[in-house]
Amino acid sequence: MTLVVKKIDEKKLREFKAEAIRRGLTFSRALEEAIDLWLKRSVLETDLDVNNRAYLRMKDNLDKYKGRYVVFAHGKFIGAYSSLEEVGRALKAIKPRPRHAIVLKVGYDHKVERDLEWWGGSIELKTA
Amino acid sequence: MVGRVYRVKDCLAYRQGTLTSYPVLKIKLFNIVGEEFPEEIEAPIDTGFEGSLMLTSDDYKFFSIGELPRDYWRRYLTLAGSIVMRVARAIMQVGDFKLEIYVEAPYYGLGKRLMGREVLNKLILVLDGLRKECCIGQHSSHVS
Repeated sequence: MTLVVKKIDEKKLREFKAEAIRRGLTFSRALEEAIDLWLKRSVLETDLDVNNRAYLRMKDNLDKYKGRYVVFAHGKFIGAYSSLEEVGRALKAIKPRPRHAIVLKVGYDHKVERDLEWWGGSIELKTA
Repeated sequence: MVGRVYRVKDCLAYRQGTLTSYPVLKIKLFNIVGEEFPEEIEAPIDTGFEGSLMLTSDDYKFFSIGELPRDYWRRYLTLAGSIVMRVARAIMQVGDFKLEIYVEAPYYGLGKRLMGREVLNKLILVLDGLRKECCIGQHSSHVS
């Protein structure tokens, strides 16, 4: 199909075309690859994002784990555990070892709905 | 007048600020998988901070293996405006006493090391301003 796009930043487009040529791709092939990457979110999403998304998918069904630690890593629910030691063992066993994980103790960790205090913030004297 | 005796287990000298000295507490920290943070932390005592233990964003990375979901993060009101803090679980060791705490770091910005009221309220501390020492106390019922 033919695609006409208006109001594209000329500089960015020029760089994109140059990079496509350097990689030996046609412009349309390079654009398709860029679209694939964006749709798979492999470039844009961090571990923090995928783990939070996994948590949000299960959030309404976590009551059955009340009093236990639920763990999310690599964008998946890993399990529910009774102690921090078990959580640690479960996280260590995951390959590859996650750099980020969500660990929530259901019914114990509380959301703080209001602004908390930090009197004076980070006010300190400094030499003039 | 209330008479009460505390036995001091350990004391740490105040650190010198620009104008006045301030109390600090020396702690060890462990992340959720039991790894020890590579340095002992001297956290300034800040009763004006309602939260737990604030760390710099760099320090915090070590603990992001046990982070709370985004909707459990916290927001603080400061003179500079509202600040959102990421929150993670950690184990803190003071002397031979270990407890599970939250560590926090700003989502935007560098942050700093501070011990807030959420942790301080779990400890017995003696701020001896005349001696310029911050001491960990033990209640009189434990004094032999």
